[in-house]
Amino acid sequence: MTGENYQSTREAVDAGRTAARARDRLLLYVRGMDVPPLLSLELALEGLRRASAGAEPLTITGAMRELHSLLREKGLHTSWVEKYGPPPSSMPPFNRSSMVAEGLELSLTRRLGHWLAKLLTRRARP
Amino acid sequence: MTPDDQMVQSCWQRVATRRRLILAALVILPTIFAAQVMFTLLPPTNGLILKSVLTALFALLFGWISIGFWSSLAGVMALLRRYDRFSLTASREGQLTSAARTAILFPIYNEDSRRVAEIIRTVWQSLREIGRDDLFDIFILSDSNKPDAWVAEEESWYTLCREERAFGRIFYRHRKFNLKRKSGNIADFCRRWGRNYRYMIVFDADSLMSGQTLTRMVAAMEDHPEIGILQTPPKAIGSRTLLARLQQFANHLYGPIFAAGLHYWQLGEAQYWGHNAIIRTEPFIRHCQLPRLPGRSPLGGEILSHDFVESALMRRAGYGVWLAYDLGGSYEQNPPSLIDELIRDRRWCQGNLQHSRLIFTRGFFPTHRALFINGIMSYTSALLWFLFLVASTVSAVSALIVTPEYFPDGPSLFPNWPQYFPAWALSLLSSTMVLLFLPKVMAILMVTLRGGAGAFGGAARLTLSVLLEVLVSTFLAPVRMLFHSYFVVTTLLGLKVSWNAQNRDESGTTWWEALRFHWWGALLGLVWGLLMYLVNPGFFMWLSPVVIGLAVSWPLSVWTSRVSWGDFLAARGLLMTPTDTAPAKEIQLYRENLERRPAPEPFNLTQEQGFARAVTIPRVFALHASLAANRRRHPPAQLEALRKLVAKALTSGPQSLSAREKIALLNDQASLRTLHHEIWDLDDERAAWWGLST
Repeated sequence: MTGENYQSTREAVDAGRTAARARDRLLLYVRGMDVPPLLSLELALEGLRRASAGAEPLTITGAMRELHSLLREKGLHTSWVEKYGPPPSSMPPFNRSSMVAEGLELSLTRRLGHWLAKLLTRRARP
Repeated sequence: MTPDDQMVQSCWQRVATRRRLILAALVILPTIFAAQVMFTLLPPTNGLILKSVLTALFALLFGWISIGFWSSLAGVMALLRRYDRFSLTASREGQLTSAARTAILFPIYNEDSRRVAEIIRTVWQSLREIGRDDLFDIFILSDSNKPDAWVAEEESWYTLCREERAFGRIFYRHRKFNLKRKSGNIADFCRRWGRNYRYMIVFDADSLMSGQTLTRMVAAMEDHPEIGILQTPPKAIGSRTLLARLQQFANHLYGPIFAAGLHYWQLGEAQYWGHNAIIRTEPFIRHCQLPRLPGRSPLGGEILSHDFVESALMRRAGYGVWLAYDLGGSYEQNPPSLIDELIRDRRWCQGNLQHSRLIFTRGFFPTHRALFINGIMSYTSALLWFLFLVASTVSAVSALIVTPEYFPDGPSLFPNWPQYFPAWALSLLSSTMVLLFLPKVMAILMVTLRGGAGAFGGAARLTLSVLLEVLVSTFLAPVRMLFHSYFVVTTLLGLKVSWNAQNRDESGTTWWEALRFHWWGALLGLVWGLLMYLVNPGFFMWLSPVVIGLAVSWPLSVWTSRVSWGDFLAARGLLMTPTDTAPAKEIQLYRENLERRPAPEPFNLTQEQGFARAVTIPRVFALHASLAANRRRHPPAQLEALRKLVAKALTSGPQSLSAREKIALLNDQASLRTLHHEIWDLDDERAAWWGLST
């Protein structure tokens, strides 16, 4: 094998490995989404097809970029939970009220004072 | 309240006053007599001051254990009569309408979210089974400040709702700032949604209640509009370590008697224990918000043991607080080890000592003032016991050193012989033993005579289990005494308590961990015991249970935390409880739910790596982004700081970020999205930090 052949073969192998990694990464991403299995496979396939369509060899960054743009097109980029699962309304609508602390008169001496005052005023009445 | 409700109140109030006067007499009169005997028994060489101190401490402790004894006796009587005109559980469950909407609250703080989710699943399934889920909504109220715990909670909530088809019925709310801790968490719920519900039932993170019990509680509240809080006595479940099994056994055997006794004295002025209770929401919102106590921590500031105060406030507002002592289907879990128990007690101790500020609060009912004192005594009694032992040691040493004065000043025909009364000493000792152990004997008799011994493994195993429980408790008592005394002293000296999540896992205490915790107590026990053995061997015999308990606290703490010891005894039918021999349906359901395994995932991330999951896994990222992330614009300096954090996360991985940094990222949607996109572009080596190994 000549040097040039070796070099080109090696590049082809490297490109193949990179493409395989990109494919795996993309598949992993769609598996991590909360969408039906068939749709996730369709998304992965379409993403890979678009990423491979260009002149440049398939890379992880390229594949992920294409997948994200595909998700944006389909309106799945942030809201697949809402779209394919029940809405995550984790809280009901507010029905506000206030909760104010009532005063606590803690001091015994002050309380005794109040009690004495009450007693005296009661006595003072005719 | 209607005139009818007021009439009901005045009826039980009259009975309660009579019963409490009887209790006071039963405690005070024998205590005075016992104190007199004690004073006479002390050697004259002690001197008046030491004798007075010893007698005062003895009287306080004797009175304290008398309360428990008489409560147990009242409980036995109440249970034997089989009829209680003040029982609240005979209510009409079938007639509940949708007006009685009830929120079930789960306030959580850095808990094991999977376990909490399975508890909620069990409660929900139990309600569905009886067809009353229409009446209830469940709220998970999170105060968690650990980023991983926060994300795990969101995931658990989502999975639970999806699997149980309970969206819109089971809610999740995370508080950014956990002001006023648990009481603030509940108050936050009340402010936001409290008006939607007539009642709320508060759970702890480890509480469990059956659907039947929940419905019966609501029915009882509907039948008795004069009740503000109805507390159930939770039974311990799910224990596997030796200590937890001992406590579970004691809780099942003695608990019902003690609860019936408490109900007998307290009636409508009972306590709220913070969980496993139903609360009338409207008066709670109006009257039970806790103020900040004037002054600084530990006795000032936010009220820590909020539950006691809330029950006093509810009562002050004119509503009754009752203990539904005969209502089953209410459970909780025990701390798995001695160290976990003591850490929890440290928190409770400060909370209870804070109540000393509230004893004289205007408008509180005398019973609640007494209950505040009771709560304070739960910990200060340990210090009193310790001081009593120290004073006894001084007395024993002085009896050897100080020579009796046979010929006092002035003329006398005969020498003044020191007098000892062994019969009196024995009577005093035996009466103290009766106070301590008779309730246990009565519990065995009651269970056996009512044919319930089988649920505890049979009469013989029941008796053996009680003996084992008494033995271990005897050795653990001085350890608890020492730590509680330490907690009281440090709290009074102004040392703060941090709010840690309660440990509920059963991994056991390591030898090193136990040594770090118990070395000083063990050393004290060894030195104290050795000195007494050399100086006064007779007194050493009296002191031996205390000093031996302290000396062996290190191994005892390790052994009692072991699951293997608990399982070993369970396999031999010891320390069995009805939850082991004939578990209720809801307990079985909970166990089955706990055995569920999460669906397999292609990511190398465990449930505990919540932050990495939220950043990496698209499903979790989307969920977190929709639930929690802040869409507000940040000032430039903060934006720059967030950008740096994103860069740091990408170059050094999630392990390089502190909890605070992770929280900052989780709170910002833009940063989170950038991080999420960038991570998926990383090379294999760095992507592996985030669980992406292809």
